[in-house]
Amino acid sequence: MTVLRIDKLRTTLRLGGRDCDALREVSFSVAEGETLAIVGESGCGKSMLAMSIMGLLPAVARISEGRVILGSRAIEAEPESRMEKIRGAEIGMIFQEPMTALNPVFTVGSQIAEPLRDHLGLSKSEARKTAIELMERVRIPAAASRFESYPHEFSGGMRQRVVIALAIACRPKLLIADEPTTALDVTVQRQILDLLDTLQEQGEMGMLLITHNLAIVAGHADRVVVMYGGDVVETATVRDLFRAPGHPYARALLASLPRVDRDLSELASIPGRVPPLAMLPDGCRFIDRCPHAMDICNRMPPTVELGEGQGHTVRCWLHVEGGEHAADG
Amino acid sequence: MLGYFAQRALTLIPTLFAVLTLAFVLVRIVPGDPALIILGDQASPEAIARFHQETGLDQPIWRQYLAFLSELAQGDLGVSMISNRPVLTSIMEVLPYTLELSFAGVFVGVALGVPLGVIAARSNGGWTDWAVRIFTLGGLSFPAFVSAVMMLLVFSVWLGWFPVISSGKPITDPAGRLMSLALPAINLGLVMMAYVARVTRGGMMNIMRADYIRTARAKGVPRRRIVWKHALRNVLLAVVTFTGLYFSVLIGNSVLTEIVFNRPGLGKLVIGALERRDYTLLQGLVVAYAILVVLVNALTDLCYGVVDPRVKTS
Amino acid sequence: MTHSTEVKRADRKAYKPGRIAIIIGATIIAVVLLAAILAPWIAPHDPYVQSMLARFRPPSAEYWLGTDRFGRDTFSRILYGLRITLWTAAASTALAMVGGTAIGILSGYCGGRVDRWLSAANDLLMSFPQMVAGIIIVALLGPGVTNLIIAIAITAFPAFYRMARSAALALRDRDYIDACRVLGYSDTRIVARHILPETMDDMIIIATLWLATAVRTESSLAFIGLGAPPPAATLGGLVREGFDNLLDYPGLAIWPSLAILVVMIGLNLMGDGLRDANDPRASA
Repeated sequence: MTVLRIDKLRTTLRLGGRDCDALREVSFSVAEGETLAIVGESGCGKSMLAMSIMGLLPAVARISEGRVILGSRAIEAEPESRMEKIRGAEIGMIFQEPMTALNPVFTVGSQIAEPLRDHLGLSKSEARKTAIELMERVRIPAAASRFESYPHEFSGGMRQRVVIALAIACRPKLLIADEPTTALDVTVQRQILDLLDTLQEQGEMGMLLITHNLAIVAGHADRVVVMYGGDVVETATVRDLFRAPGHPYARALLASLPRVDRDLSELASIPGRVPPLAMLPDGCRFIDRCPHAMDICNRMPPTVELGEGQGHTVRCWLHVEGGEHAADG
Repeated sequence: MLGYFAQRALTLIPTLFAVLTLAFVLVRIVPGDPALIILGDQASPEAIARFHQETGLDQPIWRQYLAFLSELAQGDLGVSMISNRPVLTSIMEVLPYTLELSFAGVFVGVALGVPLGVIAARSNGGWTDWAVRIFTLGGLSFPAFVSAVMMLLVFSVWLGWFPVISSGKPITDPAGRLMSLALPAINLGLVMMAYVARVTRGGMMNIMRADYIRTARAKGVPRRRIVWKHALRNVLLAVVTFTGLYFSVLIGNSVLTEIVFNRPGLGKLVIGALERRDYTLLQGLVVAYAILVVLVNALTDLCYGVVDPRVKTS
Repeated sequence: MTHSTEVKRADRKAYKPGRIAIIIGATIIAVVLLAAILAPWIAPHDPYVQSMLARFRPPSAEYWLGTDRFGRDTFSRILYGLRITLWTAAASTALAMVGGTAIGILSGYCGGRVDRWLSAANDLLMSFPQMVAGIIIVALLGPGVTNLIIAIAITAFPAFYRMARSAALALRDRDYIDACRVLGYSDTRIVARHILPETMDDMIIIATLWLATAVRTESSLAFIGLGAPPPAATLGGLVREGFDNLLDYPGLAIWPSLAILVVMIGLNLMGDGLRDANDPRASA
């Protein structure tokens, strides 16, 4: 069953009196128990995507087109009062920066207990009991005695466990993890990712794992969405992506990974960086950095299915039959 | 937490010591001999010598200083040069009035200023924000004596809601005492409110952008509770710090308020001591103010410890 | 720059604190300043001449805002009071700015023991209630406009000292200052050519904000009876005279109060506007 379906989502920002699309025609879905990774450099729209799903866009941004369907319900236009009941209850979220993600003046326990009381209507003592159970589930040692501790008494890794505990407190259908380990030490990173894997195996929760780290994708995701400049450029299973990347950007990303079995002659690294929002081109947004750029790339490329029903899609003119000549006609 | 306060208390000692020394020096650098001012130009040399002896002014300066400190350590602030009353008695008589006025003023200022600042921050650029901005600008622009005169005129003289003179009502008449406190306290509070509202607004704007506010929103905390609980608790840290710093302004304003409303208090005592050139009383008052400021600093630290859990454990 | 910082910046820009504030404030101050400078020519009456026949007159065509208990014209006295108030405020702020900046830069630039002692002295000054300090200093120095200016300057000193010190402290370790030292420039030259200009913007904003405080302190001291000595007309003194006749002639207290308010609002508007315009976050 599908937990989350994003359909042709467009998120528009108003910058300096002009509208620019931070996300264009973004479509994908997450199934029950599945981990879908969203990969891309910073500035590719990953976080904007998470905020669009959560309904937490800044004042200058809005969803101008498309749908966000959670379970069987479209939520992209829900009013704030309804979103408050969905956030934390049906969607949980983990952030990049555990050091600042918790309110310094409240106890860790009360911060975990809050959504339990809000969404599940638990009494104070029930919420406390459940919060301690959650703290044990995310393997915080001596959970009961640390209920009354404050965030500053926890290390970064422990704080991230607290954030995870409060994100999964109400057994959400979907967990969004936005760069959950980027700010942590390598050893702690591993523990947190393993914890997320275990938590997910225990239930039917779908997970959206946002990361720029392909090694994490390889080890912890089922399928991958590659994003560039607000577009989904490739969707594939992890296996397919690593074996046969279709989009020049995906190929370049993979080529930047040090691997013995890969021919590094093509593109060892990708020169340049994602252009600023206001200067994003109308056509393919990778055009300035793409080694295969053609005239037709000034037009938005279509989504092309590769293989036979494997769900491997690429948004690139290279894969369109006769694409090179389409511009002439 | 105890260690933290002990440490803070230790840092206050040099300040207190320095201010005491300053008080001593201040009243001794006055041009002219106090004896001549008090006894008059025509005083006989014997009378002047007797006055010097009685007040200890014939001693060398370092001995006067040591005497000052040792008497102070015994809680003795000396005797008034004019009335011969112990300075401490005069001060303790009016201190409750100044204290109740100051704390009531802080209460009014914080109780009105914080909500006003929060509302302004929530509207951010909307019409309520501008209304609060203009309102607080008015508050910043009123010298305390101008607002006091205006309030006295409107509420006491024209409307007759409050007594015109709020002089010392005994504590046995609580209703009368409260009525006489109301207008002066509101006067102090309204001026302070303007500052508190601005501090709160600025703090709120910053904190609403903090990561932990995003976390709270992501777990579905209702907007109202995010503002009034999650964000406000953090803004209060800034408000506590500000209140501690503002106290010295407040004390200044209380002097003006006491004059306008004809209330007994330290401020009126200072003015009286200056008019009569009562230097021992003046010295005692400077000491009283110094101790008051130091105590308020300690109180601020205490409040900070209550509001910010990081202080307790680190 | 990542896109999230772009978004944040756009989000903040949505709220622009008006340049209007500076314009309104500057206009008010310009008018008040002009009125004060031109007082001898535009005042309808001599502010000091008493007339027992014209005591406590209500406002009229001849006496625009009425007369006081000596029959002196209130409007003319307010105009002359503005002169003293503005001059005292400007002079004391300038004095505090020059003194505070000089000693602050000295403290920050020298560092070490000099800095420690100067900072401690400044903390001491700051720990004492400003108004009470002002009252005592004026009382000890004796009456007179010059003493008043000195007293107010002393109470305003810490604000400038702190700003200059932290600016000098921050600049001292910059590479280009090091470069200057390597080139053999004298300390005086480094301070005058490189550190002083860098602190000027902040100093001007603080000065505008402190002008308002100086006006408040001056008028408060005058209200207590520690302002420019009589027969000089001061705004605070006028309020005090009016206050003594408050029950019968409230106008005598109201008009000079309004004059003080206009000056304060003008200065605060200007200071607020300047601060907002210079604050990159432009939110407070």
